[in-house]
Amino acid sequence: MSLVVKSSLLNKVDGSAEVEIGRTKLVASVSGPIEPRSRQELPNSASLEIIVRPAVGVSTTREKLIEDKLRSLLQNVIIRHKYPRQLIQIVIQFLVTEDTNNYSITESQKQKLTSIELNAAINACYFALVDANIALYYSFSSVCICANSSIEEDNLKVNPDMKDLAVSRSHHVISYGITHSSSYNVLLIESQGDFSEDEFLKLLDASGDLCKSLHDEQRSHIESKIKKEFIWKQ
Amino acid sequence: MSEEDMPGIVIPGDDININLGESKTTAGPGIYKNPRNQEIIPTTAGYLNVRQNKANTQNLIYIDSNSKRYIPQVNDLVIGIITGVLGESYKVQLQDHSTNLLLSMTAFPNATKKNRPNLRVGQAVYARVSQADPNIDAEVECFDATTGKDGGFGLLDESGYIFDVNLNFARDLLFNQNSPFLEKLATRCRFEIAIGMNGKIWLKCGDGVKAREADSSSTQENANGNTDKSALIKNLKTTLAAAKYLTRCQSISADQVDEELRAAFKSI
Repeated sequence: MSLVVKSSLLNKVDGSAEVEIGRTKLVASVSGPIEPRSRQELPNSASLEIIVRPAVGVSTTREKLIEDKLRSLLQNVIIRHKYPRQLIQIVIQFLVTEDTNNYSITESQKQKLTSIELNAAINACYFALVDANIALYYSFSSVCICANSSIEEDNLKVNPDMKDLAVSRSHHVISYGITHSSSYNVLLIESQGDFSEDEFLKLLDASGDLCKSLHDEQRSHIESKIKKEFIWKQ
Repeated sequence: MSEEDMPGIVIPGDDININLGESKTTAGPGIYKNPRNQEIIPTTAGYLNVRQNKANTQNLIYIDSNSKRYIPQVNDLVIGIITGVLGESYKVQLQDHSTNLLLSMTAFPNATKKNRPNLRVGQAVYARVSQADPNIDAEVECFDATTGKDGGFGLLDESGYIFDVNLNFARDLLFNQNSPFLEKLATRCRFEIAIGMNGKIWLKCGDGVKAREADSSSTQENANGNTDKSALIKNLKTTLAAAKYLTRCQSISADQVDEELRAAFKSI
């Protein structure tokens, strides 16, 4: 997996991370817990405000969809009861996304193909949340996989590009929560295309291993970040 | 309490894997007990510290991690800036753009309804967080609750210099008795310091900085003659050098401290 991470790069927010996966690059920032607007306030837990901004142009329904998927994942991971009546604001700004002009992909097709961005956003959120010291139940990571003719190991493509997505028979974003660095539970599945149950179960297994190896990468990155923050102790 | 060997780094979801046994355990920052299954989990990434008292009857676990936002906790020692008055209380800010805390006008030594402290907006106080329930406004107070005396709390005078450091560094300076940074600084100058767990440090070297600008007209009011003025400039320089030294200490390893101290005090 090619994952390039730079965290704590923004100094006006509580946590931030810049993540580069394949040809997609984005910055995630987390501010919180902060004072919410009164309509956002929840009496016994933190509310989440998630804003996704595209690399080009203004946000559309496509970004709203990503926001919604992200929220469904994050609200189960953040220990929201620790921050009653507070707001956690997460902003995802895409810097580089796949240039669809190079492929023969129509605008309406592009509207549906959000997997690459969603996958990158989930992974970036993890680093930003850890950087902001927001309480989490467990770590999480996500992979984007597309399957071509039939789902067998060699036919899977991890971290596909836009073109792969457009021609694939099915593509999936699968996100796992990882506890005790070995066991994991599914947090989010986003699938599009044709696939059978058998194929899908195989895919879940494969993605579990991928998420776990991603988790090891997350750990080594966070360890080096913490060591840097506590450098004066060594 | 005896300390176990070098703490390891944990991230959310890790198994903290400690045998708590029958002894009473106190969970500190970064540790959460899931009310559903009573599982004890780490919620933030940082150094896991497990301490045990000698009789093995009490444990303390917490995770030491850095964050940018300060969340008030009861008994934290903080430096706050007065931002306004609200009825019988002052509004106090602990970080830029953060929610205000309340400092009651009667929360000072010997203060009564009639005998109130006279603080102005912009002045800084050293205070203790007395109430930090997330459901209501947090409160601070400026006296030692056990003795009722001032106990080092109260107004920080304007001859000191306030600057920001990382929260983890501030905690270490305040609580780690083996911390070398202040001892080393003491070899170079005489100083008075107040460290807030909200990442603010108030520092006064020598007699402090009496006027905001060393060469403005206000200098004449405080300083009488040239000798005082040069002493004033020296104090100002020393304060700034010490602040620079402490700020730099956050990003260097322990063996570079001497070098950094020399560099900061080079021109004095």
